[in-house]
Amino acid sequence: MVKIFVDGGEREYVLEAEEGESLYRVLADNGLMEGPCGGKGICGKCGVIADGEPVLSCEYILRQDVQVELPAKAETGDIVAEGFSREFSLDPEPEGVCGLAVDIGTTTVVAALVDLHTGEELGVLSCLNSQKIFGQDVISRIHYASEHGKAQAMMQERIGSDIRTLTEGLLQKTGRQAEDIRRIVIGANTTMVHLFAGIDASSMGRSPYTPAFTGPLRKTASELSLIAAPEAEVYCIPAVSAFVGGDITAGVLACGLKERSGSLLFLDIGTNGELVLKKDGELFCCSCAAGPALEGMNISCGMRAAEGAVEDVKAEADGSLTYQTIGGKPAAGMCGSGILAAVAELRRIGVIGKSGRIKLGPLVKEIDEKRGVEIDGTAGIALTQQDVRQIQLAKGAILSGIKTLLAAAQIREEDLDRVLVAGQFGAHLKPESLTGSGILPECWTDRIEYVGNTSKSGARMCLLSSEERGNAERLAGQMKYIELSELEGYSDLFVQCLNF
Amino acid sequence: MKEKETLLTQLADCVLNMEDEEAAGIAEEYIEEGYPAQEGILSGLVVGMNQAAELYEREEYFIPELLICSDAMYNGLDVLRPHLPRSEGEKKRQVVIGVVEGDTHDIGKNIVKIMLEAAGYEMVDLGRDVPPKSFVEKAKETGASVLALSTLMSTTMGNMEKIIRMLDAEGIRDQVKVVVGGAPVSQLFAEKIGADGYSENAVEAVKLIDRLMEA
Repeated sequence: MVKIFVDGGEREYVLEAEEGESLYRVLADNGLMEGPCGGKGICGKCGVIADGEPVLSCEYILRQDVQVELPAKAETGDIVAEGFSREFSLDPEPEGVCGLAVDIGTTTVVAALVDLHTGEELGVLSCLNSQKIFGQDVISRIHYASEHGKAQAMMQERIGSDIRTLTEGLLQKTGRQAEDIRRIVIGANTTMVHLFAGIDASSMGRSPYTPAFTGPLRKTASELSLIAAPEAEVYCIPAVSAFVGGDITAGVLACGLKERSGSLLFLDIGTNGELVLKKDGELFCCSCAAGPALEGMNISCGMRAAEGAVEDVKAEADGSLTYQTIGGKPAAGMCGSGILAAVAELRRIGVIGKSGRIKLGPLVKEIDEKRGVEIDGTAGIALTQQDVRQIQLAKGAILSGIKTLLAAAQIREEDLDRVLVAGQFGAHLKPESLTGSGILPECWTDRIEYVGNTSKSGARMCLLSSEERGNAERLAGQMKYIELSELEGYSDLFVQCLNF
Repeated sequence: MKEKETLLTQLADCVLNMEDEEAAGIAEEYIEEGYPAQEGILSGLVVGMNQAAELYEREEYFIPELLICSDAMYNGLDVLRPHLPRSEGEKKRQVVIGVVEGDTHDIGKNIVKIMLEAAGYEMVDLGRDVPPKSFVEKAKETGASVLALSTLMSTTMGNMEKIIRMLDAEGIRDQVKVVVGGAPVSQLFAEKIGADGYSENAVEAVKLIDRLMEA
C-alpha cells in the first residue's frame, strides 16, 4: 500500500491505495477529481501537482507515498431546474400527499417535491450527478459499469444517494414527511435509467446499441432504497432507443410537440445532442455525438459555465472584441456559450472564413504558424484554430442530424416553424450564437424558443396525471428513430456540415 | 506542347488547390504528351496531396478541404493508372483497416484510409463493426504489413486488445504492425495493449506507418 497526502486547499486528506494504481482512479474514487474523459489520458483536465511536479493524475502510476496538490476547485454553475409544460389535468388525490419529479441528467440531477393534490411545486433542489467521476458522457459510464466488477452496483448506489440527498433536503425545506411521498417519476436518458435501476447497460455500448429495455420501468421506492412511502411507485418515463431516452420523451410531452400546430424541432444539446422533428402527425428523432466541446471541454481555454467564465463576446464597430463573464468576475476561461458567441461574432466580421480558417488580421496572433484570436491578451484567453475545429466537429454532428431529420420528414429548412431548445446548454445561449456559429441554419434565428428543463417538467406531468403517463408511452412508441452512424451517405453529409 | 515539369506542377496544384474538376483534364493532357504515368502520380498528384497534408497540420486545411484534395487526386489517378506499365507496379505495402466490432462510426477511419492511400499504401478496408477474427484472418490472407484499428467509443476499445492477443495466439504478431486510433484511444492505451503505435489524426497516421515501415 502507498499513502497519498492530498492538499485540497480547505481540507487535507490521507488516502491509501495499491501500488500500480493510477492516481486519478484513487482521487476519483474519493470524489476529489473528475476528468471529462474518465481518466483515459485524453482530455488533459486532471492535472495535479505530485511531489512538486505538474502531472496528469491519470498518467501518474503510484509507486510510493506522494504529496498531491489539487487544483483550485471550480464552482458549479447554475443548474437549470425550470422547464416549460403545457396544460394538463391532474388526477384526483387526497390532500397532503406528494410526489417527486426527478430529472437525472448525465451531469446534473434535479428533483422537485410536488403536492399531488394541488399540483403545486413545493420545492426544487439540484446537485451534480456523482457518477461524473466515471466519465462525462454516457459511453464512458457504460464502459466503466461493464468493465469493473462492482462498478454497476457502485454507480447505482451513487445516483440513489444523490436522489436521497435531494429528497432529504426537500423534506427539510418543506416540512413534509417521507411517508407523504407516494409516487416518484424519473425523466432520464436511457443509460441513466439503466444505471439507476441497476440493470446491465453494456449492450448499449456496442452496435446495434440495443437497450435492455425501453420502459416504462415501474419499481417501488423500497426496491430502489429511495426515501418515500415504502410502496410508493417509482416510474421511469419510457425511452425510444439507447440514445433517445425518457428525458426526451418527457420533453416532447411537456412541449406538447405532437399537439402544437406547424413543423417543429425539439433540440436538447449536450455531449450527445438529441433531436426530434415533428411534421404533421409524425415524429422523427436521432441522436448525434456532439462531443464535449460545446460544454467548454477540449477547448484550450474552455471551462464549465461557472463564475469568471466568458459567456458572451461581441465584436465592436472599431474592430475590437469585448466580453462579459459570469458573475462579472475576472475572466478565467470560456464556457460553451462564450465560445459559440465568439465563433458567431468572428464569423460575422469575417475573421473566421467559411472553411473555419482564421484569417490574419489585427485580432489574430500567430504562434508557431498556429493561429488564435485573442479574446483577452492579459488574461491569456484566446480562441485557437484548434478550438474552432473542435466547434466545427460538434456543429457538424448536430447540423447533419438536423438535415437528416428534415430529409426524413421531407421538409425544407425555411419551412420549419419553430425550434424548441431544451436542457442546460441552451440556458445562456443567444439565438444568434446558435445560428451564427452554424449549429442551426441562419434563417432560424427568430424561430428559436428556449424551453428549459423539460425532462423535469415532463416528469412532473407524469407524476400528476395517469393520462400523461399513457401519453408518454404512446409518444415513445411513435417516435421514429434514425441511427445516423448506420445511414447511407452520412459520412459525406457530416463533412459538408463541417463548413460554416 | 507543354513541358513535363509544368504539367507535373499543374497536377500537384490541382490537388493542393482543390480543383477536383480540372485534375482529370490535366492528367489527360499529361498522358497525351507521352509522359510516364508513374511520374505523374508520384511527382504530381502525390506531391500535391502531401502539400495538402502539410496545410492540414498547420491547421489551415480541415477535413472538408483534405477530402476535396483527395477527390482531385483520385480524378487524376483514374486517368493515369491505366497507363502504368505492369512491370513498373512494384508490390505496394498493404494496410488492413477497419472499425472494431461493436462500433459503426467510420468517418475517422475513412479519412485515415484516404490519406494512407495517397501516401502509396494499398488499402484493404474491412468497413465497420468488424469482428476481431476478420482482422486476423485478413492479415494472414493478405500478408499485410499493417493492421490499422479504429473506434470512437470507449466501450469497444477492448476489441483492439483482443485482436492483438489473437495475433499473438496465431504466432503472427511479429509479422504485422498494429496501429490504433479514434477519440477515446491514447498513446498510453496503445502502449498498454501492446500496439505498435497510436496517432491522433490521419496525417499523423501516415507518418507513423511510414516510420514503422522504415524501422
